[in-house]
Amino acid sequence: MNAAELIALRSGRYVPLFGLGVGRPELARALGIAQRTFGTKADARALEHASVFLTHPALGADALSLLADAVTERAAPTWAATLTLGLAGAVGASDALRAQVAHAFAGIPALATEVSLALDVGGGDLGAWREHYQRLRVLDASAPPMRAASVARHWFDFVLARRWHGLDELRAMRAHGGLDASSSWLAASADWIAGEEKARSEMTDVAQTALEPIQQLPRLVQTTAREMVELLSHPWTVRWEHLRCAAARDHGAASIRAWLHAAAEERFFEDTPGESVGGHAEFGELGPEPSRAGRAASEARQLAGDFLLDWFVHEREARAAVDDWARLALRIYHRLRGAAMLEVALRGAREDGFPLGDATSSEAPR
Amino acid sequence: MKPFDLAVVTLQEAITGWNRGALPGLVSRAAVLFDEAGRGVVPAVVGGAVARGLAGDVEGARRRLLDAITLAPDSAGAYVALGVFALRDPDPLTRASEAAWALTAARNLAPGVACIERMLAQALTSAGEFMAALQSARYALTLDPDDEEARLWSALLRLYFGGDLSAATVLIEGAEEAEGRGRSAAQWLGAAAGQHARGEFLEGRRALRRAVAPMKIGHPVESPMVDGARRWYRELRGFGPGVPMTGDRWLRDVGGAQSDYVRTRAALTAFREQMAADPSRAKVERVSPREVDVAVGALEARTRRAMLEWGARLILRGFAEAYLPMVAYLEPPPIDALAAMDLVVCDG
Repeated sequence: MNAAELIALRSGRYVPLFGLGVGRPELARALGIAQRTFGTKADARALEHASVFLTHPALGADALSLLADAVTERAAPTWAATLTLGLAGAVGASDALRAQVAHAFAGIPALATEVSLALDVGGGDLGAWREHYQRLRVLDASAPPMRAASVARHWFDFVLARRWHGLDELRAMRAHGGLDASSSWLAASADWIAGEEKARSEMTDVAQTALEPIQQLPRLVQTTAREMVELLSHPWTVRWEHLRCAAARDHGAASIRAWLHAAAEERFFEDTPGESVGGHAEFGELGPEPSRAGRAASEARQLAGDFLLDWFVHEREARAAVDDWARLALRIYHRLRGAAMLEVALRGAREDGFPLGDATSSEAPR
Repeated sequence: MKPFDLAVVTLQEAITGWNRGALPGLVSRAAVLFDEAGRGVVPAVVGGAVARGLAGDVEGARRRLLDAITLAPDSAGAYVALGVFALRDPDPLTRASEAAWALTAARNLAPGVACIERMLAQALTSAGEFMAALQSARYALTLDPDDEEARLWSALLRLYFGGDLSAATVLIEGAEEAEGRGRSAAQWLGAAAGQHARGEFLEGRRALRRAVAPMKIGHPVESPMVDGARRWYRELRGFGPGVPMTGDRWLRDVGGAQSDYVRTRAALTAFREQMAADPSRAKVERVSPREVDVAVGALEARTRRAMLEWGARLILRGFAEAYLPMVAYLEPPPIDALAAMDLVVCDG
């Protein structure tokens, strides 16, 4: 990128992806940007520049909405939308930018899963873990079941809310098999934070497998590898911070529900021979509802949001450390998902006759 | 006799013959007499409000008491009366904050009055402020060691908020003693709490039966109180005997062997062992077994404290919800509370 282009980019005087329509030249330009971003000769700030191209300061994601309409009407190939969404993940876009791009593609059935994951798996940038968790819960309960969303929800449960059943579920899902590479990587990362020694090599293997088909985008492989080294550099430190957060949770609150549950199963007076009068219950049947005090005690937590209370523990430094780790882990997760989408898009482009040369080339395909 | 004195005597007469309410004719007459005693005179306004409240017009009484507070914000009587009516509400938990506010103001204006401290303990317990409630109950006992009501609340708070099982005996013995002093059968609800905590389930049920015995089954006014007491006792049984995290209760209270508490503790212990096996790595990663020990200790202490807090929210607030309406129904406002409202006749 030359100085003039850089100035245009910084001042918002640039044409965003698909800003000139969805014709063949624009498809070629999008492919070129993706390839040059991850090419060996790319500028050090290429990832940032590519993320800028996704939207426009004045138009937002309007151009992408037009692309989505064109894809729905079969006036443009699906791989163009896949390429753009994949690029948003692969460049490590923020939650807000990724959501903006994903929203534009919400109407494309072929991308429904990826759009949902791009929208809902996040929350670290704006401290909105709880809102994302809530959406993941809804997504997890949807039919047909979305295993990738299920993995993300259980990962949130264990890593951010320090609930051990989340880890159990992730292990069960991994043992069952059939997870895509990025979900498998995310599940392995939960094992890593729980102190599983083998998890590191498993994460590396999964990432290598996921990135192998896109060797023509070497910068993506390098960036992901560098971030993974950062992510996995201090296993005991991260584990300790995670355990500190787990210890700081309000474990006593779990008991209130157990007590109320036990109370709901109690029979009143009738369970002991001789306690009832005249062989018949002395009092009328008591409804199952708890007392006002019981209801208030259990509802207070629900109103505040259980996840929020489990995440927002008073060990502030430990929480911040785990949040930072989670933010980085999710960025890598989206990079891996993006890589898979880019691979699909590049394959589609090749089938449509776009010559995809070496990414080291500085020329865009025509 | 002065009109105000006549009104006070009439009010006292009306509540002396209390039978699930004041004598209607007398309490109405007391209200009229208080009105005649002087509009704008604070004790007369308070007396008029109390008489109307006891006659059933609680909202009118509350409005008059708030007017009296506006008229004379430095007089404790109106605050006391406001607190009394908030605690005598059929749903005392809703009015608990108002009662606590009014009685705190009354205590500040008239410190060292046992009945205010005792009622403040009830209000604070209903509001979920257990530590402050315990302090008030204990102070009330210091001021009047024979106050069985203060002893009841102090023992309840010690048992279910402080985790002191020895307080159960006080609850059991206190009910017998209180009945001997002419208090209503509702006192036996406290004994039920104590006996259940000691694992004396049969005696606990009997105590509950004694507590609700004056109520008629199926009576539209009385059955909500009976059901309230039953509901509280049912939750007491769900809570179980003893205090949280002691003896056999421990595993059940923390949610079982697969609970987050147990697994977090196990993970911390395993992590500590790993550190001990590889101290050089622990040093590089800036983690130490000592910190883990501290975390384990804090986890246990905090969890126990939290369980007592949640248990108190369930059992103590539930007790207030069941007990206070029964007492309000079966007993008149205590005479020392009337005195704290300045509704007394000064001889000579």
